[in-house]
Amino acid sequence: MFSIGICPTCDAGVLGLRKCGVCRRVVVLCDECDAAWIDHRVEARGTRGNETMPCPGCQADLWSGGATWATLAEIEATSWCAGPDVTLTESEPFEPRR
Amino acid sequence: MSNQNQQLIRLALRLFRLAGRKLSLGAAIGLCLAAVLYVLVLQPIAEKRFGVSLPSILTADRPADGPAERPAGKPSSRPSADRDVDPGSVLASRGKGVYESPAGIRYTRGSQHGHRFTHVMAHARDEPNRRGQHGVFDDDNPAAVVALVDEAYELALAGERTRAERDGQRMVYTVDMNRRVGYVGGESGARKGNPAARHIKLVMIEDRLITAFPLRR
Repeated sequence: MFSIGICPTCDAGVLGLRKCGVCRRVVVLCDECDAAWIDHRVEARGTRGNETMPCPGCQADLWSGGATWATLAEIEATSWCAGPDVTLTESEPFEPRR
Repeated sequence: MSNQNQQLIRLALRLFRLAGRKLSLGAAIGLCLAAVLYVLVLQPIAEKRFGVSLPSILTADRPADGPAERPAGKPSSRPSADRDVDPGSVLASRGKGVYESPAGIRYTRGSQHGHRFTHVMAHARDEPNRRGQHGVFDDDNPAAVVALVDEAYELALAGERTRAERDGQRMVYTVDMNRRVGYVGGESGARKGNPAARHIKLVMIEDRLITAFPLRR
C-alpha cells in the first residue's frame, strides 16, 4: 500500500491511499483510528468511521464494497497526488477482514 | 547463568547489605541462606505437594525498554491472521455484534479488522514491518488487555492523568498509566530500541471504542 504520512488525529495510524469502490476517488485513510480525508490536506475536516468508514467523497464504506488500496497507476492518475506536498511511501498492505 | 540464578544472587546481595547494617555477620549470612532455602527448596516443594501458591521473593526485572518477556511454554492467546479471539470470551454480549466491557465500553463492528475488539487485540503483538509506530501491550491475554483499556477509560472519565482532545463527535484521550503497559513497536519503534510505553491512547465516540493502544507519551 502507498501512504503519505502518519495520522494527526491518533499519531499512530498510517495515512494510506484508498480507492473508493463506489465513487472511485483516491482518498486518504488512517487505518488505525478510521479517519479519512478527500485529499492530502489532513488539517481539513474529513470523515470519521464508526461501524463503517464513510468515504469523504460519497459516504460509501471504505472497508468494503470493492474499495482497495490504490495502485501506483491510480495514484498517478489523481491530480492532488502529483503535488509537491505529497511524499509517497510504499509498505506492506493489510487487507481488511470484513 | 539462568535468570533464576542471577535473581538469587541479586537477592542474596541485597539482603546481605540490608541485614549487615543491623545484624551481626553470622545472622546476616543465616538470613541469606534461609532466603535461598525458601526459593530453591521450600517454595517448590510446598507448591508441588500441596498445590498452594506461595509468594515469590524474587522480582522479575522487566526491562525499561524493549518487548517484555512472555512466559515460555504458555500458549499465546494473541490473535493472528488465522486465529482470532472470540470477544464473547472476555466481554458481555449485547447482541448484533456489540460487546460490553465491565467498565461499560462498547466494542462494535468496525475498523479494517471487522470488529473493534479484534482491532484492539492487533496491539497485543508487534508488527515490525508496519510503517511508523505500533503500540504493543505487554500482556497479550485478551482479558488483561480489556482490563487495562477499562482502567484507562475510567481514568479518562475521571479526568485523572488524562489529556483529552475533542475531534468532532469523538474524544481522543491520552492516559498516563503511571507504569509500563507495553512498548513501541513497528518500524520506528524498532529503530528506537522499542521504548517502553506508559500511556494508553483511547479514541471513543461516547462509550463506543474506536481504538486503544499503548504509546510512549
